[in-house]
Amino acid sequence: MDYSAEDAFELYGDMVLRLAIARTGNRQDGEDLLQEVFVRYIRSGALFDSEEHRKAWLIRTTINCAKSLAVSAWKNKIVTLEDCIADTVSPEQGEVYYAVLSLPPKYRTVVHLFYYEEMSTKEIASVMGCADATVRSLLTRSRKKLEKMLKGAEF
Amino acid sequence: MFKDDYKACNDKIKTDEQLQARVKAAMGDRSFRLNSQYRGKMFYFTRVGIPTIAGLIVIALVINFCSAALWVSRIVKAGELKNYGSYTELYEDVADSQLVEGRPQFFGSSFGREEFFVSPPSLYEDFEDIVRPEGSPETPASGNYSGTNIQVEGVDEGDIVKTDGRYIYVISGNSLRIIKAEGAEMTSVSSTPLSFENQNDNCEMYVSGDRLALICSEGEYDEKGVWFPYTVTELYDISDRSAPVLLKTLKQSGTYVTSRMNGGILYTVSERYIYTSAFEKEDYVTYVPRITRGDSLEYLPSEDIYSCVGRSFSTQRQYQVITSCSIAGDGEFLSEKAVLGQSASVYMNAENLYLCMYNGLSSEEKGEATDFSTLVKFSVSDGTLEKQGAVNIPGKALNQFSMDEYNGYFRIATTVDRYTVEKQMYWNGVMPCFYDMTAFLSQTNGVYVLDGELNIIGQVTGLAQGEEIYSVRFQGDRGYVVTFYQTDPLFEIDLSDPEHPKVTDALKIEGVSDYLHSFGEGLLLGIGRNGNQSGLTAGVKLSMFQVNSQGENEEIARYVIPNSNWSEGLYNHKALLIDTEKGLVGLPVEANTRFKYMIFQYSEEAGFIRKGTVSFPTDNWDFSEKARGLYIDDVIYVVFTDVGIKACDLETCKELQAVYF
Repeated sequence: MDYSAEDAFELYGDMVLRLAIARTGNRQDGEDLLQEVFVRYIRSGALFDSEEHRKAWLIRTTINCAKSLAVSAWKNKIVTLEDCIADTVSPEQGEVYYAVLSLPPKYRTVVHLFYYEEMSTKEIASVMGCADATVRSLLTRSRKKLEKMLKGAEF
Repeated sequence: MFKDDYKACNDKIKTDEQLQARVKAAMGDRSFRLNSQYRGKMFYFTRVGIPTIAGLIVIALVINFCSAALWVSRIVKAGELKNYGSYTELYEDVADSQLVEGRPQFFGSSFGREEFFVSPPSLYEDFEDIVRPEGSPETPASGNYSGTNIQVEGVDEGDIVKTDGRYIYVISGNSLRIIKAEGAEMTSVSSTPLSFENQNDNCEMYVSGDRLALICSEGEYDEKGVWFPYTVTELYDISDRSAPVLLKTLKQSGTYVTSRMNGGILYTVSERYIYTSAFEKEDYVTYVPRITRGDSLEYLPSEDIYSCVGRSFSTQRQYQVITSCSIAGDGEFLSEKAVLGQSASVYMNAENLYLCMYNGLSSEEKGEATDFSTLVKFSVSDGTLEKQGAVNIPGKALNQFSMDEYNGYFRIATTVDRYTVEKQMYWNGVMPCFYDMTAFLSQTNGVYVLDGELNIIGQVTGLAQGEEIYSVRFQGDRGYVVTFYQTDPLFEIDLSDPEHPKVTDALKIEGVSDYLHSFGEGLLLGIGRNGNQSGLTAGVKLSMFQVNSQGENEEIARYVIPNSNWSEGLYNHKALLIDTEKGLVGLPVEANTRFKYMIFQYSEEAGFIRKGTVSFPTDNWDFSEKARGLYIDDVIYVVFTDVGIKACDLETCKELQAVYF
C-alpha cells in the first residue's frame, strides 16, 4: 500500500490531469492544479486505508483546489475556450469534449467522474460531499444539456 | 456513444515528460511556492511548441501568434475611463482587440503604430467634479451574535450561512433552510427549494430585516447552443420565516464575482465573457451585457459601458458588470454599469467601490516588461453608481484585502512581475512573422497610496525581491504585508504620512500567513500554513503577532493544527469566525483526511487553546462541502451546510444538540 509519492504520480497523474482540465476548462490551469494536488499529497503525509481511499483523496483534493483556483482573483482568464480546446484535443475530435467543457463546472465534474472514471453516483456523492440525489439530478440535467448540443448523441 | 467519444477525447490527455518533470520537481522542492511560480510564460510557449515538432506546424504557429499577442498585451495609450456613444462603437473596440490578437504581426509592422508604445503604467486624469458623498458607515445591528467575517465595518458580505440573532439561514445544496435557534433548541422552520440550480457552489445570501437576497451564478443556452452565464439575485420576503415568498428575480450578464451590502443596498459584480465564436455586430446579445428591467432583459445603455483606455487588448474580451438594488425595495436595479476588464478584485466601503483588474504586461521597453492592473473607482452614494476615474497600478492585487481606503486615501499592495521580452521570428509557411517571447525575470512588491483623485502620491516599492504577497491587511495608519518564499516576512508599513510611507518592521518567521486580522489593540492574527527554515511543511497555523508600532513586532503565540493540510479559511475569509472581544477563532479544517470545524480560544497568558472540535459522523472518507461557525449569546452553532447543525456551549464547547438536514 505504501509507495513513494512519485509512484503515486505515475499511477494517478493522468487521472488527476484529466479531471483538472475537465474541471478548470483549460490545460494551463489543469496543469497548475495537477501540480498543486501532488504537492499537497506529499505535504499532507496522508495515510490511506486502501487504493480507493487514495484515489478518492486525490479526486477530492483536485475539486477542492479547483475551487480555490477559481477564487484567485488575478488568475489569468484570457485564454479562450477555443484556445483551450485547440490546446487539449485536436479540433475534429473535440466536439464531444467541447460540449462537456461548455457545461458549468459542477456538471463537468459529475459527467467526468461518471463517464470517464466510471464511478457510481454514490461514490461521486461521497467525494463531492453532497447527496446521491444531487449527483443524479446533476447527471440528468447534464445529459439534457448535452443532448441539446450533441444532437442524436446516445447516453 | 457519448461515453466512448468522451473517453477517447480524455485518453488523449496525458502528462508529457516536461509536465512530469515539473510536477516531480515541485514535489521534491520543499520551498515550492503555491500557484504562480510556474505560471511562467515560458512553459506556455514551450508546451505549445511541442505539437510543432509533432508536425502540426501550421496549427502551432497560429496558436503561438495568438498566445504571443495574449501574453504581451500592449497598452493602447494611457487614457481615461471613457464610455461609449453607441453599440457600434463598442463593437468596433471589442472587434479590434480580437482582430489584433488573432493577426500575425507581419515584419513587426503593427509595432510601428505609435500608440502601441507608451511608457509603462502611468497614471492619467479624467476626473470631473468629484463629489464625496456624506455620511458614515452604518453600525452593525446590535445584539449578541456574530456576523460574517467582513473586511469593512458596516459593509456586509454575502455568505452561505447567515444569522440575524434569532434564525440561522443556510444555503444547503439546492435549498434555502431557515432554522430557529433559541439557545440549544433548534427548530427547522422551513426548507425552500431554490428555483435556480446551485451549479457552481457559487451562491451567497444576505439577510436584512424581513428580506433575504440570494445571489447565484446561473446560465442558459441560447438558440445557437452557446452557454450564456448570468447572475441571478432573488429577493425573498421572509416576514413569515416558515414560508419565504419570492418577490422578484433579477438577472445580470456574467458569472457571479462578488457583492456587498450597505444601507440596505445590494451591490453585485459579475463577469461577462465575450465569446469569440459567437460575436456579431447586429446581434447585440453576443457582446452587450444585459440586465433585468421590469419583466424583461434589456441591454445596458452604451453610455453606461466603460472602457479604461490604457488597458491591454486581451482584457477587452470581458466585462465586469456592476449593479445596485435595494433589498427592501421593489426589486428593480437602481444603477448599473459595466467596465471592460478581467479578473476583478473588489473593495467597497460606504462611499466608493473599487475594481482592481489585472491587465497583463505593460509595453516592452529595453527588452523588459512588467505586469500591471487597472483600478477603476465608482462612488456608491445610496445605490447610485457614478464613475470617478481610473488609474494604472504596477503589478497585481492578491484580493480585496490588498486594498483599503482611510481618511480619503486609497492604499493598495501589489506584487509586480518583471519579464524579459524577446522578439522571435517564425516562418508560418508563407512569410516570416514575429511574436514576443516572454520569460519570467523577477518579482517584487509595493504599496501605493492614492489621493481621492487617484493620483499616486506615495509609495513603498522593492519589498521582498523574489517573493510574492500572500496576505495584506490595512489597519488605520498601518499596513501589514506578508510576502513569502521560504520564510515569511511580515512587513509593517507606516502610512501616517500618506506621501511618505515607510517600512517600519520586517519580521521573519517560519511558515506563511494567508489571512491577517486585527485582533484588538496591538495584536494581529495570522492564519496560514506552517513551515521551517527551508519552506512550507504540513499544517494549518494560527499565529498571534504583537504589533506595537515601535518596529519591534514579534510572534507571541503559535498553534499548528496537528495533521492538518487544508482550511477553507486560507483562501476565503468568510469561512472564519473571529471575535476579538471573546478571543474566539473558529475555522473549518481538513485534517487526517477528515473534515471538521475547530474552535480556539486566544488569551495573552495562555496563547491559543483548542476549545473544541465539531464534526459529524461520516463514512470512512466522506467529506462535507462547507462548514461555518457562528454564535448567538452563549451558544456556538456549527453549520455543515449539507449535513446539519450542532449547537455547543460557547464556554466549554460541549455539544448540546444536533439537527440533521
